[in-house]
Amino acid sequence: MRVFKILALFMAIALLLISSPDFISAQDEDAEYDDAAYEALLEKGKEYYNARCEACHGADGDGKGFVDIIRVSEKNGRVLEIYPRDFTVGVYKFRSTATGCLPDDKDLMGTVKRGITKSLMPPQDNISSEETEAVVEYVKSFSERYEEEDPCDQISVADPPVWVASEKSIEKGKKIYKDMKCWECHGDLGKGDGPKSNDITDDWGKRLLPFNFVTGELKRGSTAENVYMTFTAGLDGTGMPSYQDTLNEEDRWHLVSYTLKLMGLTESDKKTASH
Amino acid sequence: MKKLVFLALVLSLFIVDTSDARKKKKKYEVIDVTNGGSITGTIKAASKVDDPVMKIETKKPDEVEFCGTEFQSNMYIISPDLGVKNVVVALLKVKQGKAMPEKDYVINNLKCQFEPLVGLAFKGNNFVIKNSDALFHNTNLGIQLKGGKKRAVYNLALPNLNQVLKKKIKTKGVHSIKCDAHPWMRAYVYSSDSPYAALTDDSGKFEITDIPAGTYKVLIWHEGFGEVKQEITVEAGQATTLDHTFSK
Amino acid sequence: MHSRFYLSLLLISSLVLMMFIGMGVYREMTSEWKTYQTEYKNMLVRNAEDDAARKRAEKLEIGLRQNYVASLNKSDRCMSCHIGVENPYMAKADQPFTLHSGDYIENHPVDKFGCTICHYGQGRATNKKEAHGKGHTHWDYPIIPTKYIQSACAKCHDYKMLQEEGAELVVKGEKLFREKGCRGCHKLNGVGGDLGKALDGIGSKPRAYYAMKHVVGEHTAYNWIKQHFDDPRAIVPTSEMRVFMEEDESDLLTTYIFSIREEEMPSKYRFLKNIVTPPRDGESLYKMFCVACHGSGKISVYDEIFDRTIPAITNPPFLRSADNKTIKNIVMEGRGGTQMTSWKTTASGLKEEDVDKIVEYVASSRTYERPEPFNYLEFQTNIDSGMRLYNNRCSYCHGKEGKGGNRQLGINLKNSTVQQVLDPEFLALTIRDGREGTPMPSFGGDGLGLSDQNIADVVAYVKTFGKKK
Repeated sequence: MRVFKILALFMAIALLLISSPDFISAQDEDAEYDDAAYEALLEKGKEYYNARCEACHGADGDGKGFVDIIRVSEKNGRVLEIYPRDFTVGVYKFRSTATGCLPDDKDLMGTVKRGITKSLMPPQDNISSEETEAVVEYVKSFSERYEEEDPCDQISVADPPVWVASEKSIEKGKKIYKDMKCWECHGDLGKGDGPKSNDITDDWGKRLLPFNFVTGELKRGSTAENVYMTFTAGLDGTGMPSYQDTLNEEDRWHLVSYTLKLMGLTESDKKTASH
Repeated sequence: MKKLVFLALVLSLFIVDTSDARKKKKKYEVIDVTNGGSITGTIKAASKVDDPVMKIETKKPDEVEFCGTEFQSNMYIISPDLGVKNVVVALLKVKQGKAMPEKDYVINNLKCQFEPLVGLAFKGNNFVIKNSDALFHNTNLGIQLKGGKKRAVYNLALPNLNQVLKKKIKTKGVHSIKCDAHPWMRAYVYSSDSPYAALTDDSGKFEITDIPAGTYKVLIWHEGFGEVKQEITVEAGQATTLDHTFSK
Repeated sequence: MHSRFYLSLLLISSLVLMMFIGMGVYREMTSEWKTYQTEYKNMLVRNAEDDAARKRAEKLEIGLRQNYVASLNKSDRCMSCHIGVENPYMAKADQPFTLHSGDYIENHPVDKFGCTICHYGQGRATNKKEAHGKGHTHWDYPIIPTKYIQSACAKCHDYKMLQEEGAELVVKGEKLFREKGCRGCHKLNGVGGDLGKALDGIGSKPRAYYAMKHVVGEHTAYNWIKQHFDDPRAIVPTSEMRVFMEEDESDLLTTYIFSIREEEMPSKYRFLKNIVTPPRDGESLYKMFCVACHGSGKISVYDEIFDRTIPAITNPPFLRSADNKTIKNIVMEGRGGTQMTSWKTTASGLKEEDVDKIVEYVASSRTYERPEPFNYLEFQTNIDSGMRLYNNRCSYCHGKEGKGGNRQLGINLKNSTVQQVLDPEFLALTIRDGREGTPMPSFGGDGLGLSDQNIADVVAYVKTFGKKK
């Protein structure tokens, strides 16, 4: 009888634990913060945001701060009109997750720390990782998307293969560039002047110009991995689609080689430039 | 006695719902619907509206040949007795009901247009995106948000003829689809998180069946006329009529 | 010493010498111009209208033709090949026989002008390659491409006449030169900026003046100048030249450039019917000196060529806080360490009254609103507090030491003009009210919420940049 009672007790406790939402959600990263700690983090993030970010991104995170529009005149005379990001929509370009997904927290932290040189978003390289985390949580809180959607897994990028930026790979990449019709927006020589280049708008209805490989540094950084990630994840909110389903990994690396060549960043280009 | 009390206390914790710091939306629950009600009706327009002809502007000569220079927009398809086609009628925030249909939603890039122009999709299925043209198309799908904003859901490149991609339908609401290479292309999909959604036919008629009794909010959406939200009460075993007239 | 060896040597070397002499004689007898003249003579004989004409044609002498024009000190032998250049019957013939195009030859007969005075090239040469000065002929002034030929007209004629008489290309080029702001960086006649090379006598510079390494096609001065206009950095990698051409603008400007010459034509040849002076009102001066960098002045851009932000100078909020005296100070002193050069008379050659006109034009966009005065002098400032605020709120655009540039949105605060010339009241107003239309936000009560004391502290701190090295 006593054994029966103890058994029943154990079963009850076990069932309780299994059914309790706390137990289930402990598997889920979202339950890292409890209410009080989360509020404190948001406060800290808000303080930092108001000092450094509000001027451009707005007190409500909708991109309508005092700065409004940033103009960059490229070397060939093209003037880019850049708007600070509207966080309320929850769409980000620089992600390591597939198209349509929320960015991983590390993506946002990376962007905050590095800044975006081409659009003149300043790097915040003198803040601690706790402060970065706080700001990112505060930025996330502007959009309901984080409540409605589950985050996706990060796309894992292997190290670039040794043959990236080799002559053969560049040749293959050139053919892929032509077949995938990249030139329709980016132009035959990658100058951003293709036949479709004037028709593209972003999700906010503002005109977007395709990247000019010849004069620019990419906004998310110009390493081989960064270029690969752009092809794979696409730039959500812009006209740059994801090629994850259309090209296999090897082809995407070939395209990376050709892109690096257009930007003058291959090893042989660096050598001739040092004259 | 003490042990029983202890056991009782432990068991009572079953009932307490401890939620974590963030809210989680409840999922749609499938139940057996017996003697469900239905909603039928007609969506009309107050007066005939001319369907605009849209222009195609492209700098590529092969596209001018293939796509043409203008097309009928099919924004306002209105029958002789003023029934409007392609109006989405959907119940919002339905917590439980019949099983979700298992049907993938096909978006076809055909002859420089998206086909279909307006459609219904159901969460949990897949978008099947096809390119039937020998042109570069990209399918840029986004949800319409409040305040006229749009959020990207999928932005996929389909450069080749007969290419097919499959992507899960994860979001709900009115989605608009565009192609960045061909700015005149457009389409709309209403992705529903319950099976209770319908599209009006040529005479503006629709029907939604097997609805558990209760009061629901209904969304009535049309590309040109805009959207309205109404409340409706469904009784078990009866058909409720829902008519609406759009005025321009 | 009659050894066989030396005898054979003598024989062989004599034969070789005779061979060379023979070749020389052969070449002289079959020279290019002889062939052309013979062909020309045959053409005349074949197409003679009547006997008298045929007899005249048969009497035509084959020989080198030279045109010596004493007042221009030029001997041109072009007519040796281009024999038909003054013959109206040759209107439909091919080169080199064809009649000179247009009616220029009527007013500029060859015996009074020669050819090279307009067309350049090596007048004394006797074959085509050397006469045209192409390739490795070491002639400094090759023949000018036909599209630029109008640059020679401007050597003698005034622009009004050229406009009316069909030389519009060089007239357009001159207008573009005045309106694209070239003299903002290039001096001409001692007036202009000093970021680029002075342009005096640029049209007369020999080939050796130019670094031809990156020129595509033939290495001539004409190609250098045109390609430099199309993409300055393709020809001079370190160039900061800020010019954006449409379609044929680079050709028009090249035409104008080659009309700027070192030598002056003798007064007998100069035919100046009208005195044409380019306009010198404020707007034209602004276009001549300021437009290349500042554009219309309404918006500010981060420029990737200069690697810094170019401020908006006709922006009404800027003009609200900057009075004409401040603007004139900035223009006269320039901003040391940046591409904004000083426009004092000693530096730029501009007269002070011209600077006043430019300032007036810039200020003409000012609206009547006056800002609320800040009254900077009434504050007790705390530099440490200013430093903390600056590092937290300003440094990420303007840089830790106010240098700006280097991929930072904000302009340079460290230069001598900001430090020594500008009024702290102006700086305080700018921080408080911001500058709408540019990325400078308003930090005051209506904007990002700094108090007036905070702003005064920041201004005091900014003013210390000049003292640091």
